[in-house]
Amino acid sequence: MSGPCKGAALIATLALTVAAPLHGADDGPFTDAERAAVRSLAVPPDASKTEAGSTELAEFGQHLFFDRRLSGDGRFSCASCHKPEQAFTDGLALPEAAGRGTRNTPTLINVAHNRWFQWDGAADSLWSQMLLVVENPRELDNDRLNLAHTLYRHPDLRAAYQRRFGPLPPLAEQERFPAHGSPQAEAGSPEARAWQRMTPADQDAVNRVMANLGRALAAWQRRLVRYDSRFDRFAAVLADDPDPPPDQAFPAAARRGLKLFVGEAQCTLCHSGPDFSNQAFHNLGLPIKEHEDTGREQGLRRLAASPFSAAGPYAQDEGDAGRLRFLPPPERLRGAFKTPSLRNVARTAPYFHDGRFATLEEAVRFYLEPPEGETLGEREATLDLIPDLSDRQVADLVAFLKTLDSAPLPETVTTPPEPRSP
Amino acid sequence: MITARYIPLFTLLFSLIGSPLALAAGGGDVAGAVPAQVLSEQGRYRVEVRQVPEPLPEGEHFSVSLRVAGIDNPDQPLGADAVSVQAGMRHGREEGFAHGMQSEPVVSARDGLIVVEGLYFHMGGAWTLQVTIDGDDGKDQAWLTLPCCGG
Repeated sequence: MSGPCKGAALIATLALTVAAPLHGADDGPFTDAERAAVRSLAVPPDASKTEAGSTELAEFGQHLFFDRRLSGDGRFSCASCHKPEQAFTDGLALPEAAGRGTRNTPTLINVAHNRWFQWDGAADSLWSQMLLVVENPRELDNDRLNLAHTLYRHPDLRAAYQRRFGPLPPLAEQERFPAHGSPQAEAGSPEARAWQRMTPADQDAVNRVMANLGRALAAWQRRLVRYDSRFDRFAAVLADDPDPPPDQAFPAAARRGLKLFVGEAQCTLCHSGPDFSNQAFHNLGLPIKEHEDTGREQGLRRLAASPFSAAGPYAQDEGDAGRLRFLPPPERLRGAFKTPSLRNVARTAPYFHDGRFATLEEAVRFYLEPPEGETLGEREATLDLIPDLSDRQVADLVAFLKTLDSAPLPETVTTPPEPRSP
Repeated sequence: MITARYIPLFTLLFSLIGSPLALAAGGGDVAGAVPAQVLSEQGRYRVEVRQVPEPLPEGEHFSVSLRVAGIDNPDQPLGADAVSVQAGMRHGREEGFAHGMQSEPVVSARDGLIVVEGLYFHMGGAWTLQVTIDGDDGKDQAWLTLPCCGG
């Protein structure tokens, strides 16, 4: 072999050695930067949001959650769509209750750590988001006067409510408190007119009943907390050892997927923090499907109109009224939806705000091959940072995402409490 | 009382050494450090960063204080009606933002400073503050890079 050829062979050998180390870079030890990023996903969330509040209130909330009397026709409860055995989702692309919903049912596990509630952030507190569900004609299809009368009419509910919140308004006075009515009802409808005829003081009294029910439900939902996934256990080991060996609980594919997640794939730009969500709203350029959904634009308008926001008269000290000072113009966030948490993501298919993706792999591939079609608002260019990924990398990401499932919650919080009476 | 005479000097030295803002004085738009001052694009105004949280908080509202004055009138800081502020991430773009903030900052004037409340960074990385100035010396814009957020 001549000199130059020998040199070329040496260079080729060196190049191969560099390009193909004993194990690929994604199989090797975690770098300090990767470990720091993993740590940021595994830090304990703010416990103050889930501190054990009043047990009495939470028990009432648990009863209410499973009670079909909260719906307009008595056929549906919160648990009709938030099924405890399905990580508090329904497994459907769009929920079926009083009508067909327009947005996918989100999980309630760790819901207390949300900054905004519902896909569009129309509620700024856990207690107030329930009120949107009760009066949504596609969900529980009730109205607040009927709900107040339902409490009043049923001795068990009435006693349970009054034990926690004091006397109900004098709902037997039908002149003052018609059977049905709500400011949310369609303009000009009998329910809307009935509400308008009430005095402001009586409207306020009914609104307070609604707020109290919301607080009871929120007190129970603050107990639906789990941060004990296989990922969390791996992260704890990784804190002391940059190269933990793969095992059955966290196999090599999941390990490679985690490296991608905090690195090249840029997932943590939005799926950050212990809930794997930056709690912000993003326009992903999703083509319009069944109907035009303006997302956060609508959410901001609904929030501004709600008397139940942190700036309203029913807020106590649990909200953050200060942030309402700085809300952006709604149209700026047209077509944006809240970054969902990825905890328990393998148990909460289908995916995205309208459940358009049936599997995790489909959801991941969306970011690599955005579909074409008419969209609303302006697609966020952050998405352009996501590189092309190989089939194996997609599989690795999915393997990692499957490690985010937590252990089941105890039956004491996932079943209707005994005795049946609240 | 020699010691007492030296205290202000020590204080000054400490504040210069201890403040990254002071070290960055002279401007520039360097990721990883907040510049202490920048000139507007057309050189009409000087924007000084007087107060900024360190590190910047991610996922929380925060405020910054700026001093904005014309190059030819350095002793006459501009008021809130002459200044507006937006922020966003460029993600490598030379112009415009890849995305903006999800909050709308409120600008007020206090003791000769422009106080910008309601800034909110929801993503880690380099954010850009766009300061639009419309004063006696005409309309101009200044840009500051704010690295988010610790770590």
